[in-house]
Amino acid sequence: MTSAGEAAERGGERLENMSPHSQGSTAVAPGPAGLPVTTAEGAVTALYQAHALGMIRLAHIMLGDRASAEDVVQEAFYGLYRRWSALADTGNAIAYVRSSVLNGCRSVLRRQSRSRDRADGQQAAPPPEISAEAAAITLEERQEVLRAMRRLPARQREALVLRFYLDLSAEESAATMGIGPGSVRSAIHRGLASLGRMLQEQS
Amino acid sequence: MNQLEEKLATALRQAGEQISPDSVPPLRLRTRRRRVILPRLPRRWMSWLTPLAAAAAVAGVVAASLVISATFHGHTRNAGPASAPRWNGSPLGPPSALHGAPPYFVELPAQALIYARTATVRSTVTGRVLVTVRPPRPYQVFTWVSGAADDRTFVLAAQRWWNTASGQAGTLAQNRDNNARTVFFKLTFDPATRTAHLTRLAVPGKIRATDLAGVGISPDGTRLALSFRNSIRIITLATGLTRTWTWPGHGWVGNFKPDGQIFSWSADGKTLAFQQWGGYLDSTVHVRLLDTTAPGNSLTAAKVILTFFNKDDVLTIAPFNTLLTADGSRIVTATGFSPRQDPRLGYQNITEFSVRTGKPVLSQDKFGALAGDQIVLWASPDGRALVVSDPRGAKTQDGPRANIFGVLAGNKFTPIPHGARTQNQVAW
Repeated sequence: MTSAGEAAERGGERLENMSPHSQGSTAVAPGPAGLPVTTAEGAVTALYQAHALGMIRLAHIMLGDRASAEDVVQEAFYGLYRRWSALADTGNAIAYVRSSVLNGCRSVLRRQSRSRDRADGQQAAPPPEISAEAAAITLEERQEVLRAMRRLPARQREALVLRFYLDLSAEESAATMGIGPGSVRSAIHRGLASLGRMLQEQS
Repeated sequence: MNQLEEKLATALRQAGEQISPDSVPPLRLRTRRRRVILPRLPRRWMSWLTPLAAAAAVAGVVAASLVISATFHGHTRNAGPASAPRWNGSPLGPPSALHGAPPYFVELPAQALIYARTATVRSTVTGRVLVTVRPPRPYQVFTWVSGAADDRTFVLAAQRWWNTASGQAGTLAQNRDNNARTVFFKLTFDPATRTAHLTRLAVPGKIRATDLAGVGISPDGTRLALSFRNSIRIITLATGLTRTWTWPGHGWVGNFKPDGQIFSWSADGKTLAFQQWGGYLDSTVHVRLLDTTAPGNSLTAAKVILTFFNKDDVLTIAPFNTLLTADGSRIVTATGFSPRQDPRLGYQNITEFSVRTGKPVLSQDKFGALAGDQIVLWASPDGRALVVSDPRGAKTQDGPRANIFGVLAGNKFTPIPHGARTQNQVAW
């Protein structure tokens, strides 16, 4: 359903392509010009250049907010940089970053939720204005789906994004989410069922 | 894949494609980014740092910085990887040093996840809030602040703001936030009565919130500089006369994110200092001086004073403010240094560069590279007294300490009471 290249562009790529190898406290990864880079900073920078776009897109889908998505991804790569020498297997670096991005998204959503609760008590939101973009049917459909997806519980939402955006298997999603593959399948099943219900109600 | 699954996959793919490959900001590792994650109006981050004018000057710049720093701190760097030095900033200074900065400042105290609903006028000496103002209706939040030289006149940018909810409602709200008109107010503070008055400024044209990337009021309060990322506009407030300079190349003008004080002026109001960044995957930063009285409308005419490269083993700029001192002699900014062999030996400090030579002339307030962020918030006309934000506050959950404001003079740091803040929207 999706080519390997497309999946890689979305941040679902495997690290084998980057082939950083552990060498004591440093790592070697291809630099932007194909030259080896031998520092943690060089390796992380090379990974960032290859994967930042996909990660930001992933976070943007989860959050619906570009700036926060960029912040979350920046934090994730910064965390990788700080922990580079402690990584047992630098070949799993991108899986680590992906998990960090998801964790970061959860944190942002929690903060947004708390803040919203506070703000709701302080001020009523002004009446909505319909933008020209929102009037487009295709965009409206897409936003309906995303809106419904973002109403799902966090686990179901993440499972759906990892499955249908990154094309990860249940096992890979499980590793990223820190749960079992059975739980992933269950979350996908329930998420799709809820999503279908919500879209039906909206239509 | 059934119809629902295809619909979901398509929606996710299209949502992801909203982020274009050429809009990915560069990675920033050398100085720690602020942990506070605010859903900004889409102000882009940029990467960081930088220095060096020429490759040949690199060694000299670094060596000079090291010598200066070692002199101030009374010790030399220990190069052993097992014994990374601990730098904790300049030692504490006397409370009287607080009088070396202007007595009042205006802060936009951002609350979680929203822009500032208020602006507060505070005392530099006591830290107390003297006056709190809110944007006149229908405007709801302040987004930018800049101060004139008299320490009584400030300019605030304001806009309407919609609470960002989740899903579709949040997207619409964010679109409205981004497209909302930005308006400007002059805040005049009267210390005798402890009152502040807001006066709407006549800035021509509709300025969308998302397009505005910084403001800087001239020292005499008569002209307002606005950054639009690829151009700078200066408006004469009395007449509305507008002059625009554009940046024709890649990258952008303005600093990190953008945030804080994008501009600084010379005392005579002729010269405007700003940062110009190289762009995606080229995080070289130039600090340029624009002669606002000279003819022309291209920012390429602005003279390059400093060039900061993003790489190891050179002194690099932190991604925040670079302030031109009012006498036009120095550029003051937070800098960082990361040795290639062992990043743990890296450090950051506040460095003043000569405008004439581009070389560092003063280095203070040295911290380890991962200690947190340093930001220069104000500089005295000759650069001898600064207001900075540095990471010596209370410990935070994720390691680095919180930032606090203080006056830095003679390599001594005097905290401003109640000055614990991590955000950067503040002006003296």
